[in-house]
Amino acid sequence: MLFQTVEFLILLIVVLVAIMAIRRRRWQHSILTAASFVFYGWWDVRFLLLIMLSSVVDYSAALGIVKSRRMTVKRRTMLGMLLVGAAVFFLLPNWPEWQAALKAGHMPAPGTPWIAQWSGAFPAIGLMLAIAVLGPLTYALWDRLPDAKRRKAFLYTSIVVNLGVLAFFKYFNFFVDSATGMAGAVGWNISVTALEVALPVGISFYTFQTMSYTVDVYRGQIRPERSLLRLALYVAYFPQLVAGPILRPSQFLPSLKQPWALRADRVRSGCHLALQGLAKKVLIADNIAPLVDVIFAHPQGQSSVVIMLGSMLFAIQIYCDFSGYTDIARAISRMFGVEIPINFNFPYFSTSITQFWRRWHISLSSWLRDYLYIPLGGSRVSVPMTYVNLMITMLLGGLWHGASWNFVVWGGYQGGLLAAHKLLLNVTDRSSSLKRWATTWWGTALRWAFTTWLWLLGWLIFRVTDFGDLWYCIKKFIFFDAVLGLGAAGLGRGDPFTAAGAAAVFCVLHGIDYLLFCRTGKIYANALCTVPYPVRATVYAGAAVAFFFGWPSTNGAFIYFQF
Amino acid sequence: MPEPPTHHPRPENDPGASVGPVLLELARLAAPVLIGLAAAVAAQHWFVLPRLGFPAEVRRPIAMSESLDAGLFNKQTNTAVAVIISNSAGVEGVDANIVQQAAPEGWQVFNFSSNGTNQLETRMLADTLADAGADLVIWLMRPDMLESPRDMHADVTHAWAKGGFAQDRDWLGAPWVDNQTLQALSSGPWETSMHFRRRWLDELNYTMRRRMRQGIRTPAANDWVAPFNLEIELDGERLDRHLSEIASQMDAALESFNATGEGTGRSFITDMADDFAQRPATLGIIIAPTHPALSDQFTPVEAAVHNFLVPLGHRTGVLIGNAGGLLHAHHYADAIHPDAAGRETLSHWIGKWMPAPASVHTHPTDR
Repeated sequence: MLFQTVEFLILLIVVLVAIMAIRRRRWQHSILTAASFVFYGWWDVRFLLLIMLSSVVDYSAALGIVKSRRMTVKRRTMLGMLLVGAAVFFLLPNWPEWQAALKAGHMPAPGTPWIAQWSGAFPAIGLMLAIAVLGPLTYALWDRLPDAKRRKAFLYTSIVVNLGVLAFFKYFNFFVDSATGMAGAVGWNISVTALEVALPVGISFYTFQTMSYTVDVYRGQIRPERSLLRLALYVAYFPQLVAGPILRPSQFLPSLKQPWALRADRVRSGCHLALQGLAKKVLIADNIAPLVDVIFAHPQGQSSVVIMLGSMLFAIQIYCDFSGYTDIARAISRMFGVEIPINFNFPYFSTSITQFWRRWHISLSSWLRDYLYIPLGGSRVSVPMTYVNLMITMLLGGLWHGASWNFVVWGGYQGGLLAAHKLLLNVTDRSSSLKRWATTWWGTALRWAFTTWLWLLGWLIFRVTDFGDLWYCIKKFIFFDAVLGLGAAGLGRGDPFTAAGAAAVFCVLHGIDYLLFCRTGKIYANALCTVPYPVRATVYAGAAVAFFFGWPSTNGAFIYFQF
Repeated sequence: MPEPPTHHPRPENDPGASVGPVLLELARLAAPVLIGLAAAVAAQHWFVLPRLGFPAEVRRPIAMSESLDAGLFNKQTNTAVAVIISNSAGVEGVDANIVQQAAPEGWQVFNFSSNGTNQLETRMLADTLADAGADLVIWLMRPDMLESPRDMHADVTHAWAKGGFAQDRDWLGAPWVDNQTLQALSSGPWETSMHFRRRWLDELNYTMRRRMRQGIRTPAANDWVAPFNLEIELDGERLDRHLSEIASQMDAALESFNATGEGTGRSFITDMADDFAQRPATLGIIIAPTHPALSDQFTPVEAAVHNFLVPLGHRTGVLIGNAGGLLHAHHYADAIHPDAAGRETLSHWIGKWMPAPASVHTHPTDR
């Protein structure tokens, strides 16, 4: 379910009304969990099994870590959940056709079976039995281990299951293709059948989120959650389920200790933030996307100007797409009374690549820092190992984005830049004149320009998946050819005015937003809360007009959903 | 073993739900939004769309409808009306004047081709022309039209709705069009207005595009004789690229090319021919010429189309012609559109192919 659709608006209204009308915590949690499952199941109901699996495994693992005997959910209830999920997943092979038809308001084509043939059901039943036996058996086995071993066993089980599901659904075909490709290159012909599995939307986000829960319990930073319902809500919380921000348990679970309630000031502020996010997504990102697609569909032969233009437009598109989603997620959550932390903090105004990563996708970079970089040793090890740790973290961070080598290269590129910046800082720290220069206005401007150039190059690596095309783009980006070549680039096919106009509007408004933030500490959405109503009303009416005339005819999915 | 201490921060005290203020806040938000939307809808319907008109790509079908309503086919005594319909190959490739001169005496010839016309649009147009009094409707058909009918573009659907082409067409519906398209084909003026709400942006994009690209074809909306306006001729790498695009399109079309039964291109054309057998107007289908560079791919396809059409023609009275190999490479401006020389050759051929008016004035099933 996309945020910018009528279905989502209906779901949101139902949830808001429910929160207003129902004061009992447990009922609120039940409704919100159900709404989150509807939200996620709208894509493909079968993938709810994965969320349920993550929730049940991490719930049990966390309780196992502290050897708690006070589960509020009976084990057979959890087992039942998993078996029902598994049955839906495996026994309804044509569910996507049924779901698509039902959403379109008609029955599927005649003859579409709704249940698997017996031959297809046997492995499914086998797997369900395995879940039914292995789950309780593993729990019982680990539970008898000595304390330290037991804690580790439960932690590793959680990590293996979560990463296993992620690896299977997201990376299996990628690794198989890469392995057969490499084997072919050295003359071994291996034939491995690729799996026809659809990538569950947002799987990387909720996998990281749920893993952080078990790790935090293991570290003793939080108590395990005794209610499976509350943990399931934490894992599946719909505003941020499919594209983050990746929530830490300590940022969310405490809010469940008392009933949620709507308040006028939070509703107002939330609406403003949602409006801002929606504008970023549909008026800017979706209007730029067609031109970016045209440029990068066939980049070979394009001039440097066109490649740079493509990179700049993509930079705006991905920022508005992703931060627009985050704004809407935060806005909805704010209306419920739960504050989700920011995920972007004006990253394009960064004057170094390190600063950029502190401002871009903050929840991921801080997750990687806390759960990967620091456990690897971080910067508390030898200098060379610090760089190795940095590189490993960024390479895996790159791979997190998608099962494609260009994301690995992108991660390596970012890791290299961060390492280079760290090295440079060591040098400049020893020179007081260099440090002084760096803070002058033109030193700052130069650092900003160079940082911008570096991340623009990075976006090329992120966007262009074919390595031949990518190499061409990088050459053109670095060795400027000073040819305009806009017409020959076929830009006419991508609604050039709309894209250029949206980009220009973004640059101006984002610049003003940054200045406003620097002076007052408020972004548009917050500043608007305090202005007199007539001014706000004028802005609302103006926004309605802008959305009416600028909303593209087809709703584009959010880029980060695929991750 | 004691459980580890909690680090959960204590949530702030919430004063609790207050329905009244929340609803008031939402109302204060919704009121200006609704006023803004109402103003935008009104501006679009009464100002923007009337001032800018429909997009250039869809003006021609609307103009066709208006011209027919205005009595374009008011026949002089002893003349019969022949109308050529096709996609851009017909727009660029047919000069109705030349056709008329080459045709047997007594024909008044029009070119109602329009860019991108697919099978569904062709049939709606043919029906409308027959209703408007055309005696002979000639479909200059690209061989790939034997594939399963393609979906209509949303803009085009609304333009055809605006022209009223879908009215009283009982064949429209499954399996040829889905409910959504059918709904759009019967949309009223308000729905059409709302559909083209980005019209002002389209206009600015179009202006910018024309400055950036050469050779954008926009046929005159109201010219039913000589609508062609191709400005450039492709050669070298650009021509090769265009040829390869057309070859790919043909490959895609071939996937459903030989399919028979419900919902296929063959059954669509059979249905159309059967329908025309019951009408006073005659339907003619000419296989359109294809570029010689694509002959390896197209010649067998043309032969298959011809083999399908000829028996159909015998059964239903549809006139069949094959101009597949008519033009040489120098007759083309690009991979698909004839240039001036190609247009002259093709138009002359069509004129010569046309029967005498008297032979189509009889009902085909009586012949």
